[in-house]
This record gives sequence, structure tokens and C-alpha cells, in this order.
Amino acid sequence: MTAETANDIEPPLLSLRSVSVDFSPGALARMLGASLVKAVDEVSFDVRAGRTFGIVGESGSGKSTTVRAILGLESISSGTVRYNGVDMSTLRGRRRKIAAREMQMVFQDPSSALNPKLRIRHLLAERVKIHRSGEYGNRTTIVRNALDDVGLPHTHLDRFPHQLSGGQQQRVVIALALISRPRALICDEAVSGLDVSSQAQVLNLLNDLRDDRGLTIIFITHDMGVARYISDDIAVMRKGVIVEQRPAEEIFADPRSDYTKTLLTAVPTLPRTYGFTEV
Amino acid sequence: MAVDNIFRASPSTRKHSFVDWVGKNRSLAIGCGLVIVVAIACFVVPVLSSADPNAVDANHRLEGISPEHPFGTDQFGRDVLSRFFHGGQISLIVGLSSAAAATGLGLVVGILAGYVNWLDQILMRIADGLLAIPGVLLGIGLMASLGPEVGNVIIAMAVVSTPTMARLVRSRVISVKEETYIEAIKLQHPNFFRLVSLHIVPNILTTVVVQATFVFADAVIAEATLSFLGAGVPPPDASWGNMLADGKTLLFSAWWVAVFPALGLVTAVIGLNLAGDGLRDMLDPKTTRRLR
Repeated sequence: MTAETANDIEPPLLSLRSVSVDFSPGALARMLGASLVKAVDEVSFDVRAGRTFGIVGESGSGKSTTVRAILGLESISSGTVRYNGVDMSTLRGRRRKIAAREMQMVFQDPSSALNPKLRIRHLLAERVKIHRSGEYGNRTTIVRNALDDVGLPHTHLDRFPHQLSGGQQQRVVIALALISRPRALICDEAVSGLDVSSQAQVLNLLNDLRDDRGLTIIFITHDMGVARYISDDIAVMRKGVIVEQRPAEEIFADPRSDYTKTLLTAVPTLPRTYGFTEV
Repeated sequence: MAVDNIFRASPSTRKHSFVDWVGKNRSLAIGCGLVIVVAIACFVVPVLSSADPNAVDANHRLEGISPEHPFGTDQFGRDVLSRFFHGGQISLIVGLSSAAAATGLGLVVGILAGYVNWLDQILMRIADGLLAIPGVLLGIGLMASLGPEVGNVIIAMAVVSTPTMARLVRSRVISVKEETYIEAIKLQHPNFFRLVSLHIVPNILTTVVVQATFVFADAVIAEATLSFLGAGVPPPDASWGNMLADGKTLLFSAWWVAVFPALGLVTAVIGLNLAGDGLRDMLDPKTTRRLR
């Protein structure tokens, strides 16, 4: 891949420096002696363009909070998030909107991430309206292309979200994200709710998107098998802190921290390959 | 049997015959039927007959049921049947328009309160204030200050029913805006109007529609109450409420003056309540999939 060589010169697409997110307890809880909860504690990492950055860790380790903070869904107590070299907290108005458009989120549960009252056609057309209003006249073509990109047949256009399977719904979510022509996809446990064959399809789709379009992917998962399959680099999080952060092959070949070793031994021994052969 | 059920649940076999539908939503079917019958009677019959509901005939006062006056006549010799239809028209129009006004206003106020934090406190305290006054009392007070006119009855009742609707809408908005799909769409920075009209309103609409039918039923009763107390539709125009008032002293001597408008009122209100119940069952998220 050509991106490999380019990455050495280019600044990272996204870089976090000592980012912390605190959850302060309510007034009553404070009186009862509860203290500040550091959900994310001084987290730093760089995500390079065109690569997949995996964040692994158990539930409650702060993975989701970290990416939600990147998108502004949680407020950052200290530290900086730089997107394309610019501090996100200084972005306002139109430039904030552009950054939001270029980083799209894929949620864990696709059935709740799609408005149940709109048909797939209208869900997609609305994104065209929001992000590419100049091309709204060509929305039919754009919408059809978006479905082609994620491998869904056009017959699904007139369906409601609940008439699709989980894997199909997640592909609709990805199609929605692709309409705004993002540079990065942030996937928060994007395949955890899917059965194994849908998982494989969605993961392969994400890999193809990265390879064909140079999309940067931030992939959160608690499943070490999934992380290994999709990630170029991996950060292991525990209790809000990154305990180990290295290229994926190295982490799996030679885990350094005890916590990573524990996670690796916790992987079920059932053989799992994410080609279609097994399934 | 089991095979039959599987086919019913699948989305591809969505067509249901009318008989099937009535069987599954008996209360909706009966309720709609009653309301439609009453509405057609009140709006079509007066057009066909030329009888003047306000024509006084001193020679035929308080006459019982007869071929010329199937519902008898009242103390001024007016034909109760034609007053029944005209009164029903007014009652239904007043009920429907005030329910529509309350729903529209309640939607706007509820969405603003549910969505804009600083407005929430202001709007909800006003709603609390209005709710603290008993509805009928508030209605009478408003009528006293606005003056006796049919239009003012609608305004007064819209004011009375708006706070309840606004509170309901607000609570739905607050729960819907926490949904992931709203979070997802907010990340796209859409404009407020699109966010509300495409993503919030469609998801609260079923609750609102169901509530609106109940508000309609309540408004019909409230109109009758106000008119019965003399604070509603001003005489000589008929409404079911002021016909009841006319007949209240004659209940033992000329029962027909009060009983027929009462029957009309009961039929319309039961119909609306049944329709509301049926709608709620049909639109309930848990049963939606099966019925669609």
C-alpha cells in the first residue's frame, strides 16, 4: 500500500495528548463521599491516515468514552484532541461541522442508530441533503451508489430499518457515514451485536473501505480476535489508562503488559477465521 | 396452525382483509363507526331538511314524539330533532377545532420545552399554573372575559387542554432525544427544523394522535359543560350542552328535550374514547410490526 510510505512524512490524522474525561458525581453522591471518576485518564495516541487503529479493553475501561470525547459527545476535562493538526476545541461553526462530517461514527447497536420511522431511501437522502446539498438533484444516484458501496441490493431502499437484519442495518449505518465522504470512521463495538457471519461481512467491508479509499478506521472492541483481524495498531485500555500501545502483530506475538496477556488468554480457543470459508 | 402464524408475522404478507382488521381492533372499529355515524347524521341531515332549528312555534310547545316532530318540541315549540342535529354539529365542530388547536399548540410548546433547556422551566411553570386551576373554572373564567361566542368557546377550551398535551409531548421528546439515532443525526449538525420534523415528530406522533382523540372526547364534554352552565355556546343557537340546560327542569314532564341531546353526547364520547383505545392498541410499538 502506498499509504505506508506516505505516513512517515504526514502528520497523524488524529492525535490525542493527555486527554482526560472526568465524571463528577451529583451533589447527593458527593455528600455521601463519592469522588470524581476518571473515566479516561491522560490518554495519548496518534492515528495515522489510512490505517486501522484498534482500541481494546474490557467493559468500563473507557474505550467508548475516549472516542465519544473525540467527537464532542463527552466533554474533555484536560488535554487536547488534534484533528489534522488543528485543536478540535478551537473549531467553531462551519469548520466544526466539516470536522464532524469527516469523522463519522458507527454505533454498536445498528437497530437503535437508525430512525425507525424513515425508510432506508429517506435516511440516505437526508444525509445527502445535509452534507452534499449542492448535489441534491443527483440524490438518487448518490443513494444507490452508497448502497452499492456496502453491498446492499437496491430493493432494500423502500424498507424500514426493522425489516433488515442486524448485519444489513449496520451496513446501512456505514452507507450513511460514507455519504458525507468521511476521512475517518469511528466504530464503537460495531460488530459486537452481530452474529459471526455478519461480523465477518462487516469487518471485510471495513477492510475493503480502508484499502480502496484510504479510510482511517478507529475500531473499538472487546474481542481480541476481531481486533487482531482488523487492526494495524492496537491500544490496550484498562481503567481509563492505555497500558500498551504497539502495532498489532507485535502485541499478539509478544504481549508486554500483564493485562494484555490476561486478555489474550481469555480469548476462547475455538478457531475463528474471518474469511468466508469457516462460516 | 403454526405455519399460518409464521406467515402472519412475516413482513411480506402484510395485507389483511377488512374483516380481519375489524376483528383485531374491535374497539377502534366500533369507536370509529359510532363517531362516523354521529358525524354524518349531524352534518348531512340538516343539509337535506329545511327545518329551522330556531323557529319558535307557540302553539306546539312541549309536544311529545309525533310524526311531525320525531323528537318532540321544547318549551318554545322548537323542533328538538332539528336542534339535535344542529347542536351536534356545533358540539363536534367546537370539540374538533379546540382539540386540533390544543394538539398543535401542545406540540410546539412541548417540543420547545423538551428540547430547549432554559425554555423548559418557563413553559412548564406556566403549564403548571394553568393545570392548577380546574378546567371548567378556567373555561368559565375565560368565557367571562372573552364574551359569549362560539369562537371564544374554542379558544377557551384550547387553552384548557393545551397544558396536558404540552406536558405529554415534552416527556416524549425528552425520552426520544436520548435515543442513539438522535445522537447519530446530531453529530451531522442538521438544522433544528429538520431534526425536529424528520426525527423527533415522527417518533412521538403515535402518542400525540392517541392523546388527541381523548382530548377531542374531553372537549366535547367540556363544551357541553360550559354550555350547560350558560358559559358556552350562546342561545338561541343550539348545542347539546345548552339543550341539556333547557331540558333540565322538564326532565319529568317533557323528557325528550334533555334525553336526546344526552344520548348524542354519550354516543359521540363513547365512540371517541373507544377509537382512542383502539388507536393506542394499534399503534403501540409492541404490536405495530404484526399489524402493519
